[in-house]
Amino acid sequence: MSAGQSTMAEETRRSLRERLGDAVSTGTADRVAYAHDASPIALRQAAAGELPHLPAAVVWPETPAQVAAILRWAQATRTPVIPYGGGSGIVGGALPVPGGVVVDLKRLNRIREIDETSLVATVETGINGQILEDRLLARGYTLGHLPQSIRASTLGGWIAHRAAGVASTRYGKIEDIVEALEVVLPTGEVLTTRSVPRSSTGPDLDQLFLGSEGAYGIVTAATLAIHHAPEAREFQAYALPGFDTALDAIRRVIQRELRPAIVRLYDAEEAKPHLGGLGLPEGAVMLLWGSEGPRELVDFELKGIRHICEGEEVVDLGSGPGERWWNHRLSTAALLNTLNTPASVSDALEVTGSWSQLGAIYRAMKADMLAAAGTRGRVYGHVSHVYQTGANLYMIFHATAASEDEVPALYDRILDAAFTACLDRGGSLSHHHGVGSTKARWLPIEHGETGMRVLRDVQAVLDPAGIMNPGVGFHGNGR
Amino acid sequence: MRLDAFAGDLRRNAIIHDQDLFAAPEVIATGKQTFAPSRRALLLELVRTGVLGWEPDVVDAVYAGLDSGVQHAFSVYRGEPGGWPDETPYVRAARADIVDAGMAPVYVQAIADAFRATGDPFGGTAGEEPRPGEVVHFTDAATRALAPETGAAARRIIAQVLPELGVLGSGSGGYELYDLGLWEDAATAIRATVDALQKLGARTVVSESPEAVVALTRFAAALGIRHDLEVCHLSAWLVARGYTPRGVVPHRRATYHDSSRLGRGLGVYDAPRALLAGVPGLELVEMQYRREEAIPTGPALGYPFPEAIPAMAERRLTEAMETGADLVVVASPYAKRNLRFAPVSDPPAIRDLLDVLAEGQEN
Repeated sequence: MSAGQSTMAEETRRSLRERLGDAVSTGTADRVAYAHDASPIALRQAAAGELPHLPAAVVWPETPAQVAAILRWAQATRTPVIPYGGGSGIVGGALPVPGGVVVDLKRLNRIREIDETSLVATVETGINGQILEDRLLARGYTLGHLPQSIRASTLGGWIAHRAAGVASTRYGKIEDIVEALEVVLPTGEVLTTRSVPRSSTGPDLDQLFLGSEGAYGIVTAATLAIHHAPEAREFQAYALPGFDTALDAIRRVIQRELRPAIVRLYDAEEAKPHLGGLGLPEGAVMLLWGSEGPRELVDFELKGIRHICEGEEVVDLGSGPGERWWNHRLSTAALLNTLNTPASVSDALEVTGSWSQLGAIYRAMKADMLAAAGTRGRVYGHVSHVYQTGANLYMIFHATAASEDEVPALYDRILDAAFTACLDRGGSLSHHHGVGSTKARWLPIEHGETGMRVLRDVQAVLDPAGIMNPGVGFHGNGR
Repeated sequence: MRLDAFAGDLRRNAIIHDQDLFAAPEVIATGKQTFAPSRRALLLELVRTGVLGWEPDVVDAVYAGLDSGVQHAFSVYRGEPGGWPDETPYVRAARADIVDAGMAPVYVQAIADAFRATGDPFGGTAGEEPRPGEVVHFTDAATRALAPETGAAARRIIAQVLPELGVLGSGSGGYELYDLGLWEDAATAIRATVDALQKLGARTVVSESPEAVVALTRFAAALGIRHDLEVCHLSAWLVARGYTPRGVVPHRRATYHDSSRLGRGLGVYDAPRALLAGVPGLELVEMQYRREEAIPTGPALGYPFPEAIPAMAERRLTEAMETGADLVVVASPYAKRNLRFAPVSDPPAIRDLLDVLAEGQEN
């Protein structure tokens, strides 16, 4: 780690101070603090005092105009820009590069307007997710976007990575929730789209920026669809004899047009702690449903779910497992405990595939990840976001290398096994965490040469100097 | 270094990814990730291992922590095997290391200088003349400086219950000094206050300042200062004595803010609520984040970024206003000061618990 302030950093600081006043730092503490996000390898390295790159500076703009001033300056000086939200991303989407400036958006955190007739809220993107939800709940509304990281992540991070919350089957993912955006383009121009439910005026500009991971600009505000806070929330869980049986049950519920907010299927290994002592056969899985909304809707959905799920080989586990999950849903302790273990690494890889491929993707990923993880590895998984046509898979691994030095290579081998297995069977390598720098090298396999060229050509037009979050997503092959 | 005793905690907290960042008011108010507990742990670990020194901005990051315990209260990892440590003990140890290293920042040194010159970290003067008694009401330096009206209100309330009350209105409980790493000064302050209380014949000490109670009990023990005084917060003492609020107050709906020191620090949650519930005609409503999960209103003394206080206070006051309350009741001079900085239009009344009880009694 080079903690000292370079001459370049001093020049950067002077230039930025002219534009932002005191909201600029080139101090050691700030540069160290922004040297990592929550991606597993970066996190382990940071805790060991290894910080490969410190940013040259960190800035905290409070207005879109200040963001525009930063980007104009960065474009002119070809200074890399790393947009930053809550730092909770786990794919290396907010890691600094040498000479880069981190733009932390957390001071852009105002709720500009809540339109209680149209049920939309216009909000600045640095707002913390839980604080946004709290302010909405106080007025009787919910965003319905409740990711596991809600207390840490920001609206801007959700948009940058095309995030999904745990209740997404009812409320939609962030791309379904966003009605309009205010974006500062890399050249400093500001694009504002209209808040309308739909339009037929060419390709959807909002969708261009959702998932662009900072490469196409910095989203400074969004207009979001909100909902009345749910009147009721109920859970129902079942034990089923196998993963494929449970996948089939989910598919039939969803294809019967039911949209319960929460659907979670845990494979045999992940379900084991919940099913112990019930005398169930080996391989039993747990399927957990959660329905919320108006009372009549909840009753109707749960009735439909029971009708499809209940049968001879199914054990009714009642509401307890769902309630326990809800109360502990924010914990990532299992993953972090492994990261705190010498020479060990863990991660949760969230891929997606169609119903016809999902079982095969699960089996192939599990087998190949286990083989890559070695004898001291564990792999398990669950489904947590479902659609008419398919679902996601959360494949979680824990592995221990022979030494600390070998952890990055082990991690890379497991990811390669996982993504190759998924992509070979028609899946996508990310459902909602994004690509970041961690997954960038597999992205060309998913999009192909033509797809990558389209993405890069768009960036070249929007960001002529190529300064926006380099090394992330379609910007390159990682760092 | 005192920090060496916390190596395991630092490493463990450096690897958390702040799943509860919203419960770090210092991050939300300033926008700076640098003040997240994980980053503070990382910076301290780098200092402990000699990678970094006590550079001014590292020192500021250490003093930026609110020491409120709130993020630990929210921690999704707290109940997990092995647990996840509260940062407060090692942050205070780090501050003591900073002071020992002669690197105390100006906003801390000014408080040390004031205390050494006047015996009061606020540089204030003594209040009422001391009066002996088995039960002594101690008005701490923070109350004298920030909310003298609350000290006076407390005196009037106690007098109704116990007319032969003893009084000590000078010196310092030492909370601020210990919290800022000025441990030698804290020990001096605590010893002087304990001596003064004992000379007054005190067996029981009551105070409206939770900071004073924390300092005279927890911090005294940590500094090896032994005494046989029973020290308690006035709310708990009043409830134990069967005090019943009297009279009406010009408010209809109140919400109560749990101070970090009284709530998470001393575990006193019910006594203030019981007293408020007894005020005739006053409805008590709860905020979303309350009791152990109460979000702080802001810092105590010696905060490096006073410009962040309005944003911290605004967040808590907004939550209070969302209850529909026309009265926000606090139990700490710092909470009272902080909330008054909140830039909200048409704020509700902000009163200490003792202010409310005294107001009712006098109506």
